[in-house]
Amino acid sequence: METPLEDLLRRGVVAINIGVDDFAASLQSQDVSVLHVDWSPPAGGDQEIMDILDKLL
Amino acid sequence: MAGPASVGSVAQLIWRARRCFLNVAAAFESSMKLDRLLGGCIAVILQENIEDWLVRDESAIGITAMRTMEQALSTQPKSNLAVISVPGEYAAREARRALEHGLNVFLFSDNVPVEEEISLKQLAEERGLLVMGPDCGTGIIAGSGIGFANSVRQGPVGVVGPSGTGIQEITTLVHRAGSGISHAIGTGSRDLSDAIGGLSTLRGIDALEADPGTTAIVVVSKPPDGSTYDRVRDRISRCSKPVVTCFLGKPDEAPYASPHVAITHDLDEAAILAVRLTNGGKPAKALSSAGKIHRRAKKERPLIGPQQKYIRGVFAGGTFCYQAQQVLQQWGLTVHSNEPLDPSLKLDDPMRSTGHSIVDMGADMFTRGRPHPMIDSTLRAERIRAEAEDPEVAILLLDFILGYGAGPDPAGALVEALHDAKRASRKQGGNLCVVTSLCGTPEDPQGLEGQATTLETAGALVFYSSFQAARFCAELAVGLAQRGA
Repeated sequence: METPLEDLLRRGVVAINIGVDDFAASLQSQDVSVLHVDWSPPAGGDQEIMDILDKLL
Repeated sequence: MAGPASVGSVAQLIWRARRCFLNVAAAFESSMKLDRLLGGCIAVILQENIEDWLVRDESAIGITAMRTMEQALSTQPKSNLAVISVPGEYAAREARRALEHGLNVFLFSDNVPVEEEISLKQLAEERGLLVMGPDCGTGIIAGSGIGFANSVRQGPVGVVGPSGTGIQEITTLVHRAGSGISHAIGTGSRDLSDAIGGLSTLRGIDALEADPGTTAIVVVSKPPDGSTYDRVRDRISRCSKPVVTCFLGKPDEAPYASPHVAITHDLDEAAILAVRLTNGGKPAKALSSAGKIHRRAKKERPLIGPQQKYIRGVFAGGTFCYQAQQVLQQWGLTVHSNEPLDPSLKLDDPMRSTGHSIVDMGADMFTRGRPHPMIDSTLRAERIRAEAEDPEVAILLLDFILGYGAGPDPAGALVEALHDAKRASRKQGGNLCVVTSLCGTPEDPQGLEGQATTLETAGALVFYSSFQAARFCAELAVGLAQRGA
């Protein structure tokens, strides 16, 4: 059975970019399938709330 | 544009809201902060569900932008890699979510705690995935460059290791020697420390060994920590494919029992040997010869003023900084640095050079809150001007790294600083020798020849390998030191 890593090397990159959008642009310029996530800090960056929510959800 | 949510997604939304409510009720009984909790739950439900399924728009770069990883996955279910570059304090959380969704991870972010890195890499191993990073600058998977990477043809050479610019140099040299790259797997700057134990490098070697498109493997790194080196060495010894090791700064690497393993000591040697191993032993296209470098140094020597003697390196690439120190040291020169080979040669103040100095401007202290010098040359330009104010400086050594992710015109961005530096040197009766190395290929977005022309027009000497540029500087500096002898 093929592992997800073997699948990546055989099939090539199908990417989700999270953060700096230049990296998505450079993948797109190489004809790589890429979606960009317009990321912002979860729970407004409140670490305590983030920890609680990670446990709850 | 907004679109209607599906029946399934609404049902999932209700189910998650119910589960969240029950958990909140349980938390309330244990006297947790209900008001903040409820606010957070509502925020997350809104963010991860309502926007998730109803909102989609175009990012500033014209790529469809999603609100969440889950939305991206439902839109592109065949995704197999998350490229993550969020601030360090959030990076492990996003990487863990990606792994839990079955995605391999390229983690560009730095400042991820060591224990988080170990936990992510162990999770990846359990699930048959790979984490490249954290603090991973480069990768090439099946011809696609990720992060800072060059445009190279596909071919039989696989590369793996924590050394980002080392990987870039080897892949470009292999390309320019006429061969190509199957995959280049960056593993993150700390991977070969004993704290991490080489988890991703070992997985990378496994993957390249199993990969039918890889004929030979190059492992490139600064010297690994002791027990991690033993572990990696043991894995290399058991590899069924030829392996070229390039542990920069480790001149004492003992020969391997396996005839498949070749030890090299610089990036040029590693690239050329890898090409030779994959083309039936034919000599690879030669880089510049030692004789040619010697003649260039001899020609340059009389142009430099009698008071000028020191080399000042102002580098963007950490591995290039390291390799340059190694070369200069081999020529008997004492070299200071903010990232020294020998801790006793650490610059007291990284902002001020002394004697022969090579500075890594990509080090944490220069990049905190700022883009890397491969993207933004502002600090490098300032440092170049500052070095030229020292009348004893003879040689300015610079690296220029092209490729995806790098600035659009790395050479052009420093031309003005080079003119200023040369002018400052002339004012003091000197003649500054500017030596540059270009890491790139003609197919890179910036264009290799155009960048070389820009530098030559600014009066710089151009080498197409960082090793050769350093070797030229070493030979020239030794020659300058012998003038008065």
